[in-house]
Amino acid sequence: MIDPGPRLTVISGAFGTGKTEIAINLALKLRAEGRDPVTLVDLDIVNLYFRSRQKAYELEQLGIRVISSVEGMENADLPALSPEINACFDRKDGPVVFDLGGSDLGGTVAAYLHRGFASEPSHHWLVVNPYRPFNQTAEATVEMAERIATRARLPITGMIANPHLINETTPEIIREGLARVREVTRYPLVYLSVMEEFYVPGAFDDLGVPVMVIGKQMKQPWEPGGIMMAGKRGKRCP
Amino acid sequence: MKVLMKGNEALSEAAIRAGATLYFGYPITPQNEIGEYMSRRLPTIPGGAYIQAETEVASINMVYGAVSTGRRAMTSSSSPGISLMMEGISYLAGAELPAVVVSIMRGGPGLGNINPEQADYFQATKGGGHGSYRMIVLAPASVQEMTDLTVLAFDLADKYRNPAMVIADGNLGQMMEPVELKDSYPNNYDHSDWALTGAKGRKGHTITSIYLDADEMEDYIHKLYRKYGEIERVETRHEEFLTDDADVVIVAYGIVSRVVRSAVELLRAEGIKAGMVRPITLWPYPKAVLRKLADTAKFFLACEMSMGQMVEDVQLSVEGRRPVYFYGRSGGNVPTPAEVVAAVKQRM
Repeated sequence: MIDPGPRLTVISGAFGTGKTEIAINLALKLRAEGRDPVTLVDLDIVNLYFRSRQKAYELEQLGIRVISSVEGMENADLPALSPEINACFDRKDGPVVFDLGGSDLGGTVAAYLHRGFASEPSHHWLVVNPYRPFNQTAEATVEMAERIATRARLPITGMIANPHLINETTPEIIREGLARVREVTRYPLVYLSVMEEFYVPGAFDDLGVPVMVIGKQMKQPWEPGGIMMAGKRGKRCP
Repeated sequence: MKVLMKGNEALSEAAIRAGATLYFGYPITPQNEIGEYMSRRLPTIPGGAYIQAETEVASINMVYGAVSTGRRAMTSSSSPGISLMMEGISYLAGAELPAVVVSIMRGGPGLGNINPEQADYFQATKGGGHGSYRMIVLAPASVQEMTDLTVLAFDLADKYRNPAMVIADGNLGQMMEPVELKDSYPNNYDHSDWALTGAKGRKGHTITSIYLDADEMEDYIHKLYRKYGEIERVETRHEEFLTDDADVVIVAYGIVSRVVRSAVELLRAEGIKAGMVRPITLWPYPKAVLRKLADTAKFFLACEMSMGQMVEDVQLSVEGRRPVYFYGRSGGNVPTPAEVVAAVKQRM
């Protein structure tokens, strides 16, 4: 069961900590729980590779509304956002997950929407992977997190531990990584995320944190279901 | 301990641990993480400096100046920016200077787009800049290799006093994989006989590529080519995958080799004897292994994210003894394993 609290959830973090994976999975889980409509807003205008909008077609088939850049500009290196984003605040019709771009630069985009965020409560969850270069110590994580919060004008309300080494992840990697994330005491830990191929039911029950089992969304082109950078024709790996 | 890094970050950290303390560059997608990483790390290192230059032309010439002092320095860019660096690369080769240039290819020609391509193969391996010169070109296929081959690029550049390029594409630059880095890599080449370190108490050194007399220029070019011949003999690198009994040899480098590896497995599962040769050095090119495989293979298929550039080197290596076909995608589309399988079957 996903937290039924505030309707709006902002996912942020340093580059490459897994924000997009978490945001997509969160939207999918909300939808699977019957919430409707579920909206995923891709606010990443910092980096054009491996963004939520590359999964837009598939997510829309599953009944998730995806809002990103202006149609036709998905591959433009421009800080362009769809004006439809403002409607998320006005509609008040279902949960909205915001996938912010990496680091404090990515956080800046949320500040542009601060009037919307001021109008109702929201989660602001920080994704932390202690195996990433700029999340390796608690000090570095907090320093980056506070820069994001300041630039986004949204205090961080929780932390998602996402400790993994992609295909080299093991239960020990997850446990050790979680322990390192717990060294960050400034924000409450809301979830431990574990990729489904490394999840064993019950194996993480002793850790005292809800486990969010996630499916890998942003796959490489040579993996089944891999995503492509480009192509309106919407090619997918079989 | 392993860390999870993007290709661009990993090669940057590897360069620093290999002793590169000077970086000059100008932003361009999809390689901006390199500049960002360097701008964070280098100012914290003794003697380190990061400069965002006004253009790529300035960046490469700053590298020219920096490596003239015997220090390890680098620049990086993506396709249009690398085009701007070509004059400087020719000057580096002409002056025998050990610089490392990282090229993270994107779509072209012209402004193109920010998607991954491999269409700068000619530019990297066949000149690009003017004059009789060669550049060592290394093509990683994983994030771990982005680090390993960057370290090797610095070593080969120093060993041969020649520019070396690490060439990858936007996907490799952006994707994340676990990597293992050593704390530091050896960096003990002696440059005292040529580097500009202040001439107090000794005769001055001159770094130049100008030879006004025709014979002097010719002698100098012959000297360069003796060096290039040595590099071809000693430094050619490649990987073979299931080629021993292969009827079909697919040749691919960089990210496409990851796709082709999956395709070879799919073909083998169907009973088709496929194998792969992956050039790791694009120059010098692994001609000998392809020439040898032409004794046993029925045909070759070059796979690239371009309209066909490396395929010409496959043809030159095979010397017309076997058919050489081509399959490629461009515009930023990465071929899928299924497409490669179909391309092989179509030619059987």
